[in-house]
Amino acid sequence: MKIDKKTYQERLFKKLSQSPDLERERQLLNQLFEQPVFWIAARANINGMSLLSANSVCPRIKGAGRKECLKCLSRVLKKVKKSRRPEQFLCPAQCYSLCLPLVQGDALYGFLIFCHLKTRPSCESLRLFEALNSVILEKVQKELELSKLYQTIRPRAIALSTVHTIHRLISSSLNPDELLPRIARLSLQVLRAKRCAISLVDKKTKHLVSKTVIDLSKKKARPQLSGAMKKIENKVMRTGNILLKRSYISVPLIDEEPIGVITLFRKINGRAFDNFDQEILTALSEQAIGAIRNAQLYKEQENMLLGTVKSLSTLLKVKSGYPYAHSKAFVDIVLGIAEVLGLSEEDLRNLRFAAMLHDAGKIGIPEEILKKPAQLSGKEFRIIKEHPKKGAKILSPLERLKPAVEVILHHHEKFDGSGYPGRLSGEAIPLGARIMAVADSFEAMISRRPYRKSTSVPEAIREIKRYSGTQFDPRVIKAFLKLAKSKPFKELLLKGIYHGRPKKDL
Amino acid sequence: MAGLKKICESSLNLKIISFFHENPSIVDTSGGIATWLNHDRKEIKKVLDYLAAQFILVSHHTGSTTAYAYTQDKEIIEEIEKILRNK
Repeated sequence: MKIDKKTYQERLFKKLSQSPDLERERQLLNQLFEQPVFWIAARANINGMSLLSANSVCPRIKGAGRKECLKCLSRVLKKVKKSRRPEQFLCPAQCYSLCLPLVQGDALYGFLIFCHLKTRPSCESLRLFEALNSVILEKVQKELELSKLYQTIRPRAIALSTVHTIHRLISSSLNPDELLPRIARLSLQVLRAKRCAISLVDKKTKHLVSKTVIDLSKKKARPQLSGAMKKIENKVMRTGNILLKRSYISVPLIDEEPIGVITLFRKINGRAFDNFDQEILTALSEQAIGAIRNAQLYKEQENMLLGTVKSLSTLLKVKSGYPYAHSKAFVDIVLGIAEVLGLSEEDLRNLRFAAMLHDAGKIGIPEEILKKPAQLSGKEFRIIKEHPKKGAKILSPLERLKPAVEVILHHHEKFDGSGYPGRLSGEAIPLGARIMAVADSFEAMISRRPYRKSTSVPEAIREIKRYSGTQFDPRVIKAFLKLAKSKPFKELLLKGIYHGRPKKDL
Repeated sequence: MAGLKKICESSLNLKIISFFHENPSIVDTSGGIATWLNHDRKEIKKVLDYLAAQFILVSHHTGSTTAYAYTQDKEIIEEIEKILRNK
């Protein structure tokens, strides 16, 4: 912030008069000249002059002599103002006195006056005082400049740090459902507003769709966009211009084309939105656009990957000829157990892929073994046992499926180490594989086979529990049992596995 | 807010609360705040987490970043304004 010359001089004078260096100079001169009277003046008149020394008082300062004394000082000040040179003089009490201008370059910042000196100062001491005052003045000037710089730079540095932090917070999220509320909350935080709405353009309809509304003043869990707010958004979208009013500010989100609008309403301190808020929101929205685009692209990529995996899964099932393919509910049961165990979104995604593709390795197994209506022989079982390795081998070139491959490889391991192919035990078995083992066995038990009867759900659950700690991980069993009691699980079974079966089986 | 005066008795708590009160729009990490206040980062982080738990600050988390910002609760802000004026 620029300050005018007059204000700067006033500030400098004030800082100088309070300067510890000036006080040290005064104490030094006290010793040299036996307690002279000190004055400091900002202007060349006696108004605004202040006495620096409280201890030494000229006998003529008080009482009738005061007026004469001050007249003399006023005369000297005016003279020194013109000359800008130190002036020695005799005060009305016939005492030696000295007036020093406080000069730096062309600028005159004030005057120091020493009255009632016991001895006349020499020329050398005059030069010394001048030099000393110049140094003090320069030091005070630098301090003032530094302080000004600090006051100018610090808020800007803080604002820059805020923008950078927000960028980190926004960029780290690739989930659009998580990202938009985050952008809204951060915008509310920075602009100190009460309500924020973000709407994005629907790719199909090309209309704005409200994606996030956060209202700090209302307790409603899901605040809605009012008709008036929608009008504001549509106007901004149509014109591509920012709308700045007292009680709201609305900024279009424009990438190569408009992708949405962000609008903030009502500041918490009741003040109006201003140009500074507009600058901040514009900067935030530019960051938001990048993050939203990334999240959208990531989602598209994930959808493509899921579609590819589904196609691959269907292809492998058809090619393998395995007649007992898992039901649609199998993947949901696997994910249901995983959610009870609190797996992350990333792990759930990988587990979904593993559940869809875990029998991929059966493609290499002869059909007569896969379709055999009776118990398998030892040799046939050894061939079947190859399918996890084969499945892992088929899928390992797909970089994106690497986390799922580990689960596929070990989905037939047993908790006590008696499984295959690696004879892993306990927590050495990937958690996803331990989950799939439970879901796989459960579904196998309750499904019909030509060589055995199917088991009812309650019996299958009891059977699963029996093998807790041996075949299955007790922690996974616990999660499965919790899932089995839930309503969604029963609905899953009805829809997925038990289509047409009597409800009593559940 | 009960306990706000007590919270402000600690000089570091007060320093941080003052900073946010003077810069209400700031959103920054514990490292950033430690830089502005020229104080040890670990101590600052402890206090920031404590003040967030007391709802004086709001924390924003992502995987690797935790940032802190000032509350938008009017009552708390007014209470803090009173306390700072009396200090």
